[in-house]
Amino acid sequence: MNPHTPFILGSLGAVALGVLVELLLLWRAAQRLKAEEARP
Amino acid sequence: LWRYASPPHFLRLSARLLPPLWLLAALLLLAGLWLGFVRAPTDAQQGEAYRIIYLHVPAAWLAMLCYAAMGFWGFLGLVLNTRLSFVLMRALAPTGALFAFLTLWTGALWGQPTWGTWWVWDARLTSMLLLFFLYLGFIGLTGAIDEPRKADRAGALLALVGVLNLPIVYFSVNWWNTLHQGATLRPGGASMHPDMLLALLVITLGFWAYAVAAVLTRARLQLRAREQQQLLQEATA
Repeated sequence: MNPHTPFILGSLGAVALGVLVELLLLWRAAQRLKAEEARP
Repeated sequence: LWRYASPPHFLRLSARLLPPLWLLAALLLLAGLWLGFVRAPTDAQQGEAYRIIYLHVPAAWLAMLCYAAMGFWGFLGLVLNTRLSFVLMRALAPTGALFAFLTLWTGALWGQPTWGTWWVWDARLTSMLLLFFLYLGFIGLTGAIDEPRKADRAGALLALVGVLNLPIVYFSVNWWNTLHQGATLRPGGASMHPDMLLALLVITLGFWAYAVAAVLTRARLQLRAREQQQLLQEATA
């Protein structure tokens, strides 16, 4: 394995994880709002 | 022009823009990652580690751009007192903070194999860390004030003061002796191979499309949440 591979994978992984967490938070906020809007 | 400041118009327009924006972001990022991590040649001096540039530099540009946009919307909100400006300002902060964090993280992972250290207290790194803290401070401040209009104004002032840090981040590599390399793109041209430059630009556009899509999505949610809160207050009054 190239000695730089862990550094590259660490960078790619962080970007993927960051984007995933942000999308998850947006989705959760949308679900919460939908539930609130549906309340009579 | 005023009709663009109206929340119902914004909700309609953003609903139309969001699907193509998410698609564009996904396509550009996939293409950019392939260009940068598969197609672009290996760097003669740094070997494979240089490929972190394809994430580090676009993230740094977006972190600065998001903060500049926050300052712009904050200023507009303070001058025109438009709700949509403040909502856009606040919607930018989490995405900007993510990009600032990714800049610091990928920078550390690039620094270790090339400089032999994860971190140094030099001007570029320290001013970028300050930008990240400004984002966190903005999110904390606006979240700590219950009354939305007061939170908007306090946040806008912090955003405007923080804008002063942006030229320091950008020009720090020219103003001080730092370990960090100079600007990748300069008015005279780029200091890199055309294939490398193409990958960098495609990923930057992908990050930009992602940021716009995420910010518009969050702004829509915040607008609807504010309307919901107003309806609740009117119902209980």
